[in-house]
Amino acid sequence: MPKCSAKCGNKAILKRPKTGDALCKECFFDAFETEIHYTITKCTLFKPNMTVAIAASGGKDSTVLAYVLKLLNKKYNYGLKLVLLSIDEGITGYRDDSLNTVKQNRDDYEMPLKILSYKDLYGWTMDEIVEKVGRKNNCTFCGVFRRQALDRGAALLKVDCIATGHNADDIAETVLMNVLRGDLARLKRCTAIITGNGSGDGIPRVKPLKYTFEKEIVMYAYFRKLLYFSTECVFAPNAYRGHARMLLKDLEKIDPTIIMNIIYSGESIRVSENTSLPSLTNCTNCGYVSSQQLCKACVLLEGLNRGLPRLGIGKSSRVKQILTEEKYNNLNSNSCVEAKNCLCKNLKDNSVNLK
Amino acid sequence: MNSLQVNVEFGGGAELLFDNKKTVTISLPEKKEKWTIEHLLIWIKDNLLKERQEMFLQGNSVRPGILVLVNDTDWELMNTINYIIQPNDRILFISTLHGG
Amino acid sequence: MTCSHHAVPFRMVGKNIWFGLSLRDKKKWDKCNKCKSNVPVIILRHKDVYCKECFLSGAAHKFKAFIGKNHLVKKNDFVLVCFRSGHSSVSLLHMLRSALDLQTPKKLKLRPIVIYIAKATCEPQFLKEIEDVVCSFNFPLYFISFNQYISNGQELDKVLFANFRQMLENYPQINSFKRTNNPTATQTLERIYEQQLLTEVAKHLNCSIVFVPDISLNVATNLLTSISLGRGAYLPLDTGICDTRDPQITIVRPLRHFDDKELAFYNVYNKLKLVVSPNEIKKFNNTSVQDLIDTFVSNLQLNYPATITTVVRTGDKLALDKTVLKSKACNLCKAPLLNNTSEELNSATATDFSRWISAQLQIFKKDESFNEFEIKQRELYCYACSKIIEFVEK
Repeated sequence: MPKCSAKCGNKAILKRPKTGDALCKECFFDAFETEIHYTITKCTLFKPNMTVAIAASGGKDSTVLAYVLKLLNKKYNYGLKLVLLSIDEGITGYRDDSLNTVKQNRDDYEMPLKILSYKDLYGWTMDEIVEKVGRKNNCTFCGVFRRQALDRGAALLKVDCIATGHNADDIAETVLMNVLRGDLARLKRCTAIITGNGSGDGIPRVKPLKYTFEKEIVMYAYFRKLLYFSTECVFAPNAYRGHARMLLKDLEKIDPTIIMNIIYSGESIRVSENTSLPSLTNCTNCGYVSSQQLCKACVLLEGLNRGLPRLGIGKSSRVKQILTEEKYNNLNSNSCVEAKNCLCKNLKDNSVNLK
Repeated sequence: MNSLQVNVEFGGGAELLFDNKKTVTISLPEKKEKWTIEHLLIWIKDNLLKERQEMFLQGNSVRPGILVLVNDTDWELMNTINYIIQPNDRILFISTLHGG
Repeated sequence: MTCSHHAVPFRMVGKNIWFGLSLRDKKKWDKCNKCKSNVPVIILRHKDVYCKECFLSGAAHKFKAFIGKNHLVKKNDFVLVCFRSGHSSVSLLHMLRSALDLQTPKKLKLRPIVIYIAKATCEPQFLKEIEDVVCSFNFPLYFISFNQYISNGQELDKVLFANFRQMLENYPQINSFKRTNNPTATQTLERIYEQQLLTEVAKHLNCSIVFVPDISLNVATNLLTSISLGRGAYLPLDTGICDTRDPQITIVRPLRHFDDKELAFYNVYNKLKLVVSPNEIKKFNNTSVQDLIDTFVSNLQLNYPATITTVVRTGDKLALDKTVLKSKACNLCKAPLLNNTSEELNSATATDFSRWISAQLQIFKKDESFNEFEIKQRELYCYACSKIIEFVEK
């Protein structure tokens, strides 16, 4: 049995996936937690007296995040007020169990918990959405809705910042995915550790686990005996992200430090000045930050409500066209004109040349 | 006996799987259903391809990376494996699974 | 031309989907996309069909337009052209020769010199085939032994030959390049040394430009490989249109928007002779990052046919950080070094910190400050090269 490389004199019981060092249990905990502490301080993720909402799904990342933030907050006097924020997508069998885990976290870590459901916020559960949309594009809906749900929840709770459990593997995977899909705008933003900072009244989001390996999160949770819920979302297998994940896993087998390499590459990439990227504005319907006149959530919702489930999947430039075509088709019925919340009213260019 | 004459050619490195032969004239025995490329591939597997079959075939077709031309035309415009072979057709298999 | 007329739905072949021709598609595809009159003989990108003439003229035009649009060559420049076995080099030489021989004012004005880099022991027959092929295009040809260059790099006259027989006389045995036990590091170093070799030979032969025959798949693979090795800052050099890390020599990849099918058909229709080698056939053992990614991209491309072009186009839109333009160069790959400013935390520093804390926990625990941890500046080697430098013998 090799000795712990942190020179504490104890026997090592594990090998760190991130560096290959052999460590004993206590030194592993210390190293793991100190690295997160370093990330938090070096990047000034928090300020004293902030209220921080921890995005809690009941999964390993958010459980470990909540545990470690609570521990570091106490140990190093961050002076933060921590709350748990959880979103119920309405996926039978998946969310019910994970919500129970979050409630357990609330009790174990003694943190207040707020649960918001898609049904409350949007009028649709994911089960209902999948029924209308099928299983290929449902992840688009879930991702977009969840993002807004967290922001809306955070605003309701009046917190200063949201902490998410995105880990190094997630970020590396996102870099690869954005390269494969040619999404330069997202590629530029996806390695940022603080997002939503400069956009007016958006609540900033931070990723304290940005440099933490998923394997180490699992090990940490195991040795600390932390409770979490681990099942893949039942709708997940068809997502394109799965390809990027598979590549990352294969690369990790060759050399785990590739995960950090990919993040470093993402941080170092610069887009040419000649390339035009979509600029950010505010949704004309709900005010949320968006790169189009109508934010994605509003477009998707409008599609669901009008029976056009593919509205918002595919090119944004087609949305206006589809909505106006539909409006033209309904001209004789006055439903559009009388509807209070008809989105067409919010489209700046209402006069379209209809042949 | 009406056997079907076919001129099979290999290029781009595919010939390395067939004893370096670049062209082979084949007489396919007569049979009830017509000879399609799918059937030809089975014949090639049984009679010509000695080793590393996975570098040429996959399932009931050629391995991705092996291009097929029928009389100088892309087989994807001619129903790929279901193309019915005509007498004296030239069928060319080109490998792109080569470095460089 | 005869074809069967029944519809062919998508077929599952192994794990991949072959796009067979459906009845509905056949109606769209009975005339060449371009001239709208001839019968098509090739389908590209699963949707565009062309007759032989339009396909060939389109390819030639794409090549010339690329050179013209990017203002790559000044009049009568000498250009060093790297020749490799396989399809792409032969296409490149033919396109060059055709563009040079045009009788119009639009003809290309540059002077190619071809070089073959021998990376393993070659049969004289194999080298003779290369000589025959290159000479059939009327270009001068040089041979160089890769390993000899790496050992005697300074003295190019000793390792560069205008005649393969002379090379074989001097160096009958050419070892395969195998610097390290790590397949990724070996392939990375091979690429770095090859680049260096081409740059030096170009200078020696008075060339200002080097053409390498990388095709779209190679560019996409190199891009993802560079990202995986931490070379994100250098993507415009590694995989962009021009590699300008050397102030005198520009390395260009004129075939970057061509795919393997296009060039294979180009060669068939032009009846060009290829040079192939059993050693060069892809092995698919995926032990190196490069091979793993090549396989991954090739497979993904089958189900998502826009993959390669999307990745290549993404690469086209990247630029070097302005702050590095005047930096020192990495001793190994010659890319400009990035300053590791201590204000922002990045992944490189975070990794260094992890290494430090795993060993120095006791020191940290004394006063729980980070003062003892020093942020590394990159003075000699860039981030990626500093990880493989331990594999370099010299």
